[in-house]
Amino acid sequence: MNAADYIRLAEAIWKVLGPIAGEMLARGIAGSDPFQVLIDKRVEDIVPTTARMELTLAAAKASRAHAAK
Amino acid sequence: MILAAKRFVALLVLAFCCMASMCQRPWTDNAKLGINGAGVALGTVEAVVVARIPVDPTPDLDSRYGPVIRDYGRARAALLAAEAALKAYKAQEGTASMCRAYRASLDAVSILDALAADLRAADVDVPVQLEAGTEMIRTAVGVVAPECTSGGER
Repeated sequence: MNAADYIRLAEAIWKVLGPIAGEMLARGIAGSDPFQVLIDKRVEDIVPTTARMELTLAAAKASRAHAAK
Repeated sequence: MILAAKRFVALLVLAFCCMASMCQRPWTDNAKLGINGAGVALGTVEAVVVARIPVDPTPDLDSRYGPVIRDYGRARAALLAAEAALKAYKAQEGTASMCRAYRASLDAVSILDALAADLRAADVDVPVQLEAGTEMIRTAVGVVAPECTSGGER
């Protein structure tokens, strides 16, 4: 990874940091590792399921089928 | 303008923190950071795909978005599995559990690569964060490869 990749990754991480930035800052001030907050973050809380995409696809297909009638 | 400059500086600081912390952290933590980065990118993929489907004039939506949705689900499951394997390794160290975490992380990388290929095939821009997160996991697991590919561990 080069510096540009790290900046892109930082942007992605930044989106996670938003809601937990306060806790990271508090840990940093307290002298412990602020990045541990991010490491501890559970994937399940970050990644949505496929349900919304599946519903959107089904709705688009139904809409087309209805329009074709 | 000032806000953009401040954001850029903050990102730059964060990027250097990432680089500095990667050098000091165990590979498991680096892999977890990459997993979370890729996870955030999956959220972006969902938003883009949900916005694209209703306005896409393609006659066959299934063949265009089916693979994306399938591999998105697989990627989510793979990230969860890799996360669980890394957690198990941290709880109980040992070559066998380390190599399970290594293989689970590599599986996640290959599925994220497949998802990126699906997105390109569907003419959807691959979020740069997805590639960066994938690369971060790949780099993190790279340091354990020799231990898990030799001595009958694989």
